[in-house]
Amino acid sequence: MTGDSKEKQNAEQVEKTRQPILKTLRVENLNDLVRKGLDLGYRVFAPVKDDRLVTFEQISSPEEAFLDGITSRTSPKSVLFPRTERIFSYKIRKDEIVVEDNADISQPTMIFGCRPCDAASFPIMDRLFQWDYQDRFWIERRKGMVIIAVSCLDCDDACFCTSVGLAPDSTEGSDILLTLVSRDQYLAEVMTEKGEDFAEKTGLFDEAGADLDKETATKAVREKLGKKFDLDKIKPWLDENYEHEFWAEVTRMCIGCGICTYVCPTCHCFDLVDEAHYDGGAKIKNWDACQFAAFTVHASGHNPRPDQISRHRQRIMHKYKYYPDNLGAVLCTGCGRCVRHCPMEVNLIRILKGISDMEKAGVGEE
Amino acid sequence: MIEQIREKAKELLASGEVKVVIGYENGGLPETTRPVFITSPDEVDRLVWNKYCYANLATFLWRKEVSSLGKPAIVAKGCDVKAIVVLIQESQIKREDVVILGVTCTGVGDPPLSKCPICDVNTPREYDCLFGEEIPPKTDINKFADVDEFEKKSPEERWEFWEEQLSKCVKCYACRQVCPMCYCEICIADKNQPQWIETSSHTRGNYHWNLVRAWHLAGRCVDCLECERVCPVDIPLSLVNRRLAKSVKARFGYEPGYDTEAPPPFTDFKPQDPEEFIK
Amino acid sequence: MSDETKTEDKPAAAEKEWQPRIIAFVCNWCTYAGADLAGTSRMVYEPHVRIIKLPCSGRIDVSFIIKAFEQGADGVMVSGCHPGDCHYTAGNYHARRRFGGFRDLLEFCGFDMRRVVFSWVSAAEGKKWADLVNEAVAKIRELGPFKEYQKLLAEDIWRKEETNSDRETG
Repeated sequence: MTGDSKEKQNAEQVEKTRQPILKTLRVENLNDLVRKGLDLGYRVFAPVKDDRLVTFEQISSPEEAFLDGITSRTSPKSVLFPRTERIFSYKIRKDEIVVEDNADISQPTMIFGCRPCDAASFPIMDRLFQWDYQDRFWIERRKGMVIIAVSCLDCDDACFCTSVGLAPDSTEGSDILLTLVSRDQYLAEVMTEKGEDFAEKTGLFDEAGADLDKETATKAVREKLGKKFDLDKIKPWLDENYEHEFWAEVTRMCIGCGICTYVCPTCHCFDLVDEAHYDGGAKIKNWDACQFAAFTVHASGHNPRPDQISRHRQRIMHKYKYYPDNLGAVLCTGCGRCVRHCPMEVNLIRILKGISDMEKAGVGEE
Repeated sequence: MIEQIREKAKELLASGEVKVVIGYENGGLPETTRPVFITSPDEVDRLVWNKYCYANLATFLWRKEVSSLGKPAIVAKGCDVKAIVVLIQESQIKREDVVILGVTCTGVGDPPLSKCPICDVNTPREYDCLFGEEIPPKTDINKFADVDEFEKKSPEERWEFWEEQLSKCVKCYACRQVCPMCYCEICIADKNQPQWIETSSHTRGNYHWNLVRAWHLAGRCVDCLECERVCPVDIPLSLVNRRLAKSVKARFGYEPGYDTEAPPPFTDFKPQDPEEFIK
Repeated sequence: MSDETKTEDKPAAAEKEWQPRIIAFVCNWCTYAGADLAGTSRMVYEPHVRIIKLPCSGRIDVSFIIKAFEQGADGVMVSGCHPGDCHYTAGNYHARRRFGGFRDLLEFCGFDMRRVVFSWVSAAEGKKWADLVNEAVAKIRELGPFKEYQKLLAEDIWRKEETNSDRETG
């Protein structure tokens, strides 16, 4: 298959987005939106705050949702791709073995209050889970899922969505994107049929006047974000520099904890395990991570990625070279979680900036 | 103080006495530092020392990515030095193979981490050079106040607390990776023939992992608090670590990290060890 | 297992006839021989204990205890040679240190420590072994199933809607 046709195929698989339909939602109706979702039978997942920890959890009332943070600690990918998930299970009984599929995968689900960087992660991962193998779990869940994201009006030093081609108000992946445009009003960009259908059912959205404009609302945060590196310079350098002293220099402090991959909205590696007991068992899909030494170790004991330096290089190569090569998108949304939560401050922004600076100098543009 | 550290680092590197200085440099985010490995005397100005020097650098003494550079000097707070002492006790490194650049410390973090108010090693107990004014060790501290408080709860309350906490665990094993004591080439959690600890993050597997993690640190954990600092889901790991520290202290009169010559408590025994729990 | 109480295939009956499940990790040289003596002396004692023989109490890893609970045990017994009697000189001394710490950890995490019994039983103490088992079974019968831990197992979907009788025949 040529690169072109592969890309075309991917484009077809990813749900088509249309010109947005602009609506408005009154701030006071935000909670009703969640309530409506619950009433309509959606499982609603939203950021939930417990002390300092914000994670995506299933909620049963709108008051539980916490929308004030920059990003949650863990990403909403766990809604479609749980940390631990049963593929099938079996019971050993006197005269038979009973096999049961995991059936609860297509319940209607709503992700509420995620950030545009999180919403953008879903179409990126669609490319993988609908590529050669059609991942039933991902696809089924995705079908029944409506994503209502909220634009960012603030950012921190770890955020870099603007550097990977997104923005604090990008609509990528959202069914409905809400942007607070005035004290009491959200601009709602309804991006998909699913979103339109949902908006209609709730009856909470009004037609938007032509004067509403999200650009003004998000101008300040855009400026604060700026551009932290030049994305166009990354891949050309990676293409040429699999072996380079730079890798050791910038990743030697990595301890292989894998937090970056666990909090990442686009990291998707998993491992299949059997949990077998005398009376039954299950085939289980668990998250795995390229940062773990055991990830690549062979049965012989040989490990083709023998140290943390090669493992960390793999993570960056995968996100900024292999995934673009194979599936036509950068596997990163600039949410900044890996930067924010790295205990050793490895700092992906620093590494990518280092690469883009070297590449710039290398081709003599300066 | 940082000037003296840089000077010493430069001297050590220039003379060839060490090949690498393990220290801290400023991080990219505000209020952070990053471990740095200085191999050239020209680069010593990257070294910094401030209250954001959280990381326990002792973990790098046995990591091959760093040990392959050659003999190290290491910038170490009192608590980090305790970890180095345990590594020496457990024959992971030799005392003469590391130059300890001890720094006196009044606490890291803003506000200080929970380990800092109960620290009795503001001045490191073991070092080759000391930087900063010596601070006499505090004497009136109870390291286990919160442990004692927790033990007043009923068993049901304790169970409920840990069930909730451990249900959060995502089994990323960051607590293990950051721990300077977790130097096993193959961790029990990675053994899969048989699979002792299930990799799934269901509460049952989480229980096994967290009990074993805490247990394998009994009599070894120096409460550097790194596991708790890095835990992405904020499990209070230090509480259970210190319960074991308290147990080891009460039962065997031993505290890890103070004496390079002392035998680790679980490689040792006394005929008169307490056995009040054995029928 | 042949002396297992036979249970009916009905959930209600199984519930009524719940019996404690206790796993005993014992050393080969003393406690196992003691249990053997109890048997050859025709002592009658509670049948609800499954004995797992190991070379030495020093071989009993704490993971064994957790694993037993993971498999649905209601109680665990750990037993070895008296101090000074270890076949390998010091295995039981090391075990004693370990179990002292580990029991404190379990207690701290809210385990009911009446479910974990540590003992020294020599090859001559068949009577002591029988008494200890009877005592443990009586205690655990009083405490009931280890519901707290078994709740953690409920996440295993294949265990759902399952009764004691299913398990015993499994």
